[in-house]
Amino acid sequence: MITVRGIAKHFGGLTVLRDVNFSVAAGEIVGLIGPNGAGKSTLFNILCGIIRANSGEITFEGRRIEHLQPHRICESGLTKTSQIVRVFAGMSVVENALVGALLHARSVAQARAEGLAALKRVGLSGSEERQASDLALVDRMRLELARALCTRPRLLLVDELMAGLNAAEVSAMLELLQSLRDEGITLIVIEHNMAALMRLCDRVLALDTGSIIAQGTPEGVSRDPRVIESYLGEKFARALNS
Amino acid sequence: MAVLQALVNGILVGGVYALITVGLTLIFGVLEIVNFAQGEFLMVGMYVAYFSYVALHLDPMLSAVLAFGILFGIGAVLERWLVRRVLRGPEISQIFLTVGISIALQNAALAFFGADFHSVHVPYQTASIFLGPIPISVPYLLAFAWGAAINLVLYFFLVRTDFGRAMRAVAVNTVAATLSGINVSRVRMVAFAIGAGLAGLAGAVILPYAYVYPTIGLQYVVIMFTIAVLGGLGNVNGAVIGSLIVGITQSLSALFLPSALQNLVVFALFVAVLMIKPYGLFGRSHAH
Amino acid sequence: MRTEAPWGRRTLLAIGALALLCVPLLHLSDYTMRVATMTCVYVVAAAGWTLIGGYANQITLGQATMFGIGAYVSTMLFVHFHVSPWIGGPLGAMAAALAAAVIGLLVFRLWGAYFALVTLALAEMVRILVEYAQPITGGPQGISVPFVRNSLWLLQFPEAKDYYEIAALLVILALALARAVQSSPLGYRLRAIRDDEVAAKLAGINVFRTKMIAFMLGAVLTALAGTLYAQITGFVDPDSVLSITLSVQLALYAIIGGAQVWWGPLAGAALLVPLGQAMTGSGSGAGAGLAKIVYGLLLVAIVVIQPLGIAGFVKSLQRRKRAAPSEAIAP
Repeated sequence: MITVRGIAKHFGGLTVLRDVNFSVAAGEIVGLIGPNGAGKSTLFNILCGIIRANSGEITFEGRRIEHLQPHRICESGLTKTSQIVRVFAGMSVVENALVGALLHARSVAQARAEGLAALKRVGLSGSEERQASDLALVDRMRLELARALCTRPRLLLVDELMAGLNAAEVSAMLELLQSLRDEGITLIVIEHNMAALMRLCDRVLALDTGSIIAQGTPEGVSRDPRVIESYLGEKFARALNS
Repeated sequence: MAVLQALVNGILVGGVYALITVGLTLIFGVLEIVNFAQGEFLMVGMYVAYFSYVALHLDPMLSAVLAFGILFGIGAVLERWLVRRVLRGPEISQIFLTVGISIALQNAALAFFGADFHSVHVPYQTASIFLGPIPISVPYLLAFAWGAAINLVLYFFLVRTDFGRAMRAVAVNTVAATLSGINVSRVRMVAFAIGAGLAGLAGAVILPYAYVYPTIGLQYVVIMFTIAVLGGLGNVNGAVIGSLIVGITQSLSALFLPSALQNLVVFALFVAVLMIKPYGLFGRSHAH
Repeated sequence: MRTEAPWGRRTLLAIGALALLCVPLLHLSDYTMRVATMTCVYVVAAAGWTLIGGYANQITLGQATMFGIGAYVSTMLFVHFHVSPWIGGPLGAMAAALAAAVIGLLVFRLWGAYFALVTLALAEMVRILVEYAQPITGGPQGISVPFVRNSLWLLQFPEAKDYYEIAALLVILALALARAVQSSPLGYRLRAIRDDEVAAKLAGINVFRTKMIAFMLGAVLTALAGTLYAQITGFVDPDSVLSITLSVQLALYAIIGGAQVWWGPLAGAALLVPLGQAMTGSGSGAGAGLAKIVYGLLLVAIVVIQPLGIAGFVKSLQRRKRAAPSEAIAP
């Protein structure tokens, strides 16, 4: 589905990613973990074309995309939801979703219908006409997911969609993401909720200081000493401190 | 010879531009808004100096201090009652608030002082001193001296005094400044007031060789923006370099271009720089 | 809004358009009709600004360039080659669209204040060039449109009021276009860009192309208004058609009325142009000064209190009205 080779990114003198390599097969759900500042969101932004890498190749469904504009990448079937929630604050909920659907729809009416269907899937029925900025954070995250789904992605990058959800909501979200996979959408998921990640993912990539330090089954990666040292250990320490 | 003369003139004009622009740059650095009324602050300063001359026979080089004081007050009031309210508002409010202020000031001048051109007569108006074979106009030299002095004072204020340091802290990172106990809204008000005051002072200082009329601000405002952006909006030292670049470009281009097209070169330079460096020569990108 | 019958709304708009065309039947004074005609010109010009500045929040301070191109191209074609403004106007509009394409290429990747400043600088460059090209453009002194005869083909009439029907027709066309854009895919894309450019890209929107289309469409509207202005006043000079003041004025009409809705420029210009004319009409330069002080203060007040302009007030009223009954029903 997607193959990433030798991606590197520097901001000024700061190296955020160095030589990132991995690939994801169609139909997989892959988790991406790592401590804050490891470069996870930067990697997502590079895959979507929002940020350009300094070097490296990205092949998506047999096509090189690292030089493409974000909207071209989105057209070809790859988009993401953002960690910092980005809804169109001045629009209603259904209009937000509709904008995503305009990519394929032939009219605003058709896009609206697709938007409504997507809102139903993510559990936002009943809020269609509300102003997006009036939604609670959790619902805005759902809305962003709905908008992304409306662009009909085949590979969807999900950046921390479960932060702030309670246990029941996490379960519902997991079910939703799994049903997306069943429909043929491949997923890469950044998530700090390890329990959720273990249930959801077929495979996990661990990123630290700009490189992939481990990959494999969720169980395998969570037992990897380097991952424990750099990430899980840190989390554990944080839990102790709080 | 002509080139040397043009170079000297360019440096002189550049020094004056540095004085005119430094306020705009300071305001952008601390408040992150472009003050479109800066040209009108300059115009008000010119009128202050003009009326001081008419009523009190005060030399503009002295009434410059008065102009600074008056514009400082106007700036403080405007910041306190208006600018503060749009700092977190949409972009359109941030841009058009100061545009509105400039329209109001410009036309207030038109309504109260009329559209006539006014100037002052000072003894040194046409005097020149010679640097070797090159004549240097005294009014320009005085304005240049004011510009150099103000930039030095401002530099020491920003680097050596606590309030100046607080101002730089706010410019770099508002949140961190707030957390370290700086009264950010007071710093912003003072920065805006100083910025306005400096425009007023500059207006007085250029009066010996310039006419004052209600729309004079428009003559300077695009040049001011050009310089501020060349230097990187918000970068006070950059503005000085930008001023010299613009001053020299203007006077050198006068050698081979009709005077009507002088500013064309400056604006083209401005646009070209932004194409290559979207945040100016010495600017930093603002996260948005 | 969606709950209302669309046919009722459309009928209402048709009646409004018809009423606009029927104003001359009221036999108003020549002065009033002249003001009404000029108002129409500025509504169209400001509608051009709305498309890019309002819908997409790309705040240009150089829209006068488009007005000036419209005015100068048709006038120069008429003066030098005797081309009818019916041909010169559309040619001017095409020239303005071309200029918009070039300017857009330069400025669309700039952010916020930098965008505003560069559009301002580019507009000044155009003005300097026009002033310099004196042999063709008349330079800073401007150029007159010689009155040949009372003729629809030459778009020349003895009085400003005689242009009213054409100006009103252009208003209807411009606002119909602005309204159509607002509810079209293009309109939604522009709103998305206005709210969050990065999110718009992630939703598959070609941000550059979308801005460009809006900018060029807006340039066409403003240029057509410029041509009409030149015909009505019979005189074109850089101060009146290429100045920063005009750029600001067009934005001002749109913002006061409400820059994000199609009828914003109508509301803004209909309020401010007559106000300005009335105060200027009272005689001296002081009157003009006073009128524009009011402009400036209104602009200050509106951006501080309600940046969405008159439309913003209307919207918040509607919201309150809608919110009140539903709150009463809610358990």
